[in-house]
Amino acid sequence: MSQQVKNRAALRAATRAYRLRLVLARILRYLLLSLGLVIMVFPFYWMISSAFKTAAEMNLFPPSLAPRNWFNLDNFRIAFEKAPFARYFLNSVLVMLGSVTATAFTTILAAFAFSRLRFRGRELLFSLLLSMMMVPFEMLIITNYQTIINIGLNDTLYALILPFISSIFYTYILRNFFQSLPDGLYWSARVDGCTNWKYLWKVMVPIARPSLVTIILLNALASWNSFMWPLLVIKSDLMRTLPFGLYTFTTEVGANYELLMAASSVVVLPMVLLFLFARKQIVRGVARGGIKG
Amino acid sequence: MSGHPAPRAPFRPRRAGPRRVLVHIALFFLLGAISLGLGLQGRALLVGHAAQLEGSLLVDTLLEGAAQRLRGALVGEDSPQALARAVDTGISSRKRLLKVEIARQVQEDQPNQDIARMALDTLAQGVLARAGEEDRPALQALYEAQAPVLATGLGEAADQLERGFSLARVRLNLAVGVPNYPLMYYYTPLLALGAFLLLFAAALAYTYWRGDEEKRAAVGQRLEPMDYLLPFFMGVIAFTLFPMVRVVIMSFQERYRLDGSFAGWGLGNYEHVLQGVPGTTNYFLQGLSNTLLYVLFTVPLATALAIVIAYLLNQRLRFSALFQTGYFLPMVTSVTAVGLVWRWIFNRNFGVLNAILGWFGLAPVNWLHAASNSMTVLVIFGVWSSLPFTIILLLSGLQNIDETYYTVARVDGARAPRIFRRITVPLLAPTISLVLIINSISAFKVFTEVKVLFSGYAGPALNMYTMVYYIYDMMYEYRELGRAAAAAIVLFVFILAFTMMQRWIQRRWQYE
Amino acid sequence: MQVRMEGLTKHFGATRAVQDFTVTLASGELVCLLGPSGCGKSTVLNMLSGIVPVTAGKIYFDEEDVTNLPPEQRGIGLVFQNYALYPHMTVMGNITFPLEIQKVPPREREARAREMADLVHMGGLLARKPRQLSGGQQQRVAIARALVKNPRLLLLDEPLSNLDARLRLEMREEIRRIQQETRVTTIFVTHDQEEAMSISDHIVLMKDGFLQQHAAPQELYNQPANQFVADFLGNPPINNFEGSISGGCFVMADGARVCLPGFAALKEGQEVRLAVRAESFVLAEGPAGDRLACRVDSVYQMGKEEMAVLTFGGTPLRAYIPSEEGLKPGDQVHLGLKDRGVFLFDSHTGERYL
Repeated sequence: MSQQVKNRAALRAATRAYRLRLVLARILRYLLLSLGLVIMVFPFYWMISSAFKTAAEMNLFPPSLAPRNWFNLDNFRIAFEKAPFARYFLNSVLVMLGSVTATAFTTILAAFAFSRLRFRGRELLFSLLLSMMMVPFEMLIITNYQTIINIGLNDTLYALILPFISSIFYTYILRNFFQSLPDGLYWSARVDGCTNWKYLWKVMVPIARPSLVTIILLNALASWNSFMWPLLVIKSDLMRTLPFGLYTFTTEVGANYELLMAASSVVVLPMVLLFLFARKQIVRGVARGGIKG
Repeated sequence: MSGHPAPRAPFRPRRAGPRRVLVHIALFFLLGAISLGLGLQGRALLVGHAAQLEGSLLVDTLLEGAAQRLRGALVGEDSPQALARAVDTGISSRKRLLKVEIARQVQEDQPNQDIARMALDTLAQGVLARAGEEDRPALQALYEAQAPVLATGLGEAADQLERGFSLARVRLNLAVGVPNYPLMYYYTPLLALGAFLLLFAAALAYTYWRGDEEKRAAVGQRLEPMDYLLPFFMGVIAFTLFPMVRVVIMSFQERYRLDGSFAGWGLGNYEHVLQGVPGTTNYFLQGLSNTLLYVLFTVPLATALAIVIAYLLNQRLRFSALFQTGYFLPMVTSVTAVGLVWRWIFNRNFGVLNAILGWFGLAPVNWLHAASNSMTVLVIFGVWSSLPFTIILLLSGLQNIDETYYTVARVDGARAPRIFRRITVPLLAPTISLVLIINSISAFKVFTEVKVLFSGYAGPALNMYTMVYYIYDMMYEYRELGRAAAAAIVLFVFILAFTMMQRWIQRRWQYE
Repeated sequence: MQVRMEGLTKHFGATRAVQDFTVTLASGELVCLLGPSGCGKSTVLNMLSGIVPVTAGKIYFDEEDVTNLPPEQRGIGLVFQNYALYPHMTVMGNITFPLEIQKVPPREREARAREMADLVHMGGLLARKPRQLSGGQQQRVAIARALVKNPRLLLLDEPLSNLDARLRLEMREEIRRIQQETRVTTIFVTHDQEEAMSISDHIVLMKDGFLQQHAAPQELYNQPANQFVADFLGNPPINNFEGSISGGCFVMADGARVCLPGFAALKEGQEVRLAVRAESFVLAEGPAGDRLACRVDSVYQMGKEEMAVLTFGGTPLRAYIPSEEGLKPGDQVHLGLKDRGVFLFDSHTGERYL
């Protein structure tokens, strides 16, 4: 009998210890995650808070955690005066829109051809394309640079759009998705007299909207943040995109970091907003594609 | 039987084929004609430009050639100074007018021999006019003795110039800023394209004319995929396939310049890139070793951290949206902008990092301007910015592990560390290897980070070259495209090796 | 090991998955938790294993209150529907893993694992990886893994659902055999009544979170506790006729009637359902009070007998008739009822009268 009592007591103690362990683990988890979160987010906070500091505040050591006046828009004003950020912004937007539209267009058409249309050598051609996918852009950049200059398009926004209108990667993703749609859907439409073109735009594209949105988002991100290519191809100040413009701005203002931070905030803000809006889509797209945005 | 509708004819959709063929015929004909026209125009422009060029070249050759030869004939090593000076001034006095006259005669297509003779005569006259009384007869005699030979020689030189003058060379040596440059440069491909399109249109037209409804529809059917693929493939061919091939070729063209000229074929680019010039720093090798070190440090570190974070995130958490947003934010922001913040954080005098070090009583570090710290700076930034993407992939991999594995193990009494070690990590292994490879490939291409962190230079003491930075430098600063190409090929070889490894590992570790 | 559940209840928010479930399962038996989807059988299993906490009630393993014990301390073996074999370990690795956790020395581990593997007839495949095994083989390994630590209770969640029909037959006999050899108290969950009937010592039938009946298979079949039990077991499903009691006879809406001795005891006008199993009909010569007048609609040949679909009182019924009788559609026949397989249930409550 006492053995039973002892057992029960031991059991209760074990259960209590178990529960305690669980709680401790939970606390530790939140603690670690929060620490990591702070480290990840801190540079952004620093960027924003510095954007509102005065030059004097910037030259404090140890640095102050928050600006005295959170509504001090001076830095933004000065930055916009010193460099045509509005123009840079416009350029970035134009390039992004153009690039996204053109790429979406070619991708949709090509993915359709590779998934729905039958023609000789289709699979061979596609696997050749796939093998080209791993060629890094940094290798192609040399000839593309030469080509753009030869065509006379350097220093224009077209140069920033043209080389990217065909993306093998996005076509691969979309084609896989198209292939997952059942044949029956297509044939019943065909039997009703639906043309391929109509089927593509009225049936397949609407169904593929999640995938397309992902592709468009990733494409927009890449276009907005691209740096090396504009660096090469654009010379005149008015044709620069935001990251490039920001970069040249640094050489102008040198030590006035508060202006730089204000400008950086402007560059970063649209993508942050986009991310807040479409976080789930972007994350899912990245996970699926396994490639950087 | 009320209001029974009359039986309708069975629904037969119209064949779309024939109409498509017609459209294509018209389109190709039009495009072909335009292309051909542009090509012809380009050629005509080029010919005109060449003629102009040739003309002026010829004039210069004749002019300078005459002056040189005359001087050589009249003035020897032991000729007195006064004589030499007289000859020189005599020659220069006639040069300007002579040039005009030569130009006119060249324009009129006079034989080079005659022009040569005329030029020599004119210059000789000038010399005689300037020469002293006593020298004149001697000079004249000397001249008349040699004149024919000189004229012949000069004439032949001019002829040779004309012969050696080719349209191709003019085209290669065209300066980029010349008006209508694209047309002149690409006239051959334009002509070829035009001819091809016209032929294709003709072939289509023939098939249409000879064929019946069925045949036309079939042809139209075959044309259809082409319509859908054309925009895509134009981009791929122009900006992926063509450059791929071109870069390989370019790497073997020594001293390749932006305008397309190069010194010759050979391995010189590779030599320069891989061995460098003795006595100077080989920036490519530096770039290679820096890049390798960067990859070796950043990728495993980021992956290890990401595993921990993904593991912590892989639970039902409160504020999960907040955590996700925060952890994934750096992924969507421009490296340039973020790099600038980090530059400020790393700042020696006012940066946050040194402030934090100060809390622990440590001395401030010169992060950005001491060569020994450059790699550390780059690695820190690299790890920080590659974390979000890595976490996403690992988190997705973790979530793909079936819950029941954990339950079974738990029921058998396994505790968290054992479960993590024996179940989670092995099942996560494929994802981990994928992440390692992808991150490595990205890390190989590191460039923007360096440029932004170190204010546009490759490190405080030019010690932070990376492979891509070298390529960029070669292209932009040195205009040595051939070397850039060779470096790019080496980079590609590394990336290819890693990609192959990735494929092999993925295949080997498939569990399903 | 005896398993006793008292007043077991589980609520998921507003949903009541299991209600006041009280049952005692004898030691060393193969018991089946049977029922349609959503009846709560998996929930009961999960509460037994400890994966799901209990809302109310108690669970006793041999008089030990395990209601709040975590799973790893209950001494149970668990086999999931998808087997959950660790894909990166070999068969041997999978089976020895529980012993590894218990820090059993390697040689003993291996010996016990081999023993188990032999028991489930997987002795020669110890070096294979799960993806190289068939469904049946994977399940054997899962069972071996669950049994290797000598649990006092073996729980299987829909073990045969993932197998094709032929394999299902083979594997259920295997489960029976293994259970007989080890004598471990085994509880498995299924929705397939044929499966339950063929191998269980006892069946626990559930519906909507409530216990319907707990008995040996034959008893469930021959003495159903209520309408639901009668309907659930048996293939083809039992024939039901709606009607009421009038003058000691069962009368249907269109006047068709049959009178059996037991009916007289029931209340006049009571609305009842007459339930007759397909094999409980007898082809008789002429009309009689205790016979049903039916018309043949169609006849299906089944080899040794035919299954006829007839109409009685406007309701179709299925009956097994020996082939020799040679029924044809349109025939008017009279069917008598056997002693077994005939029941009377209350139309509304399902309570059994006869």
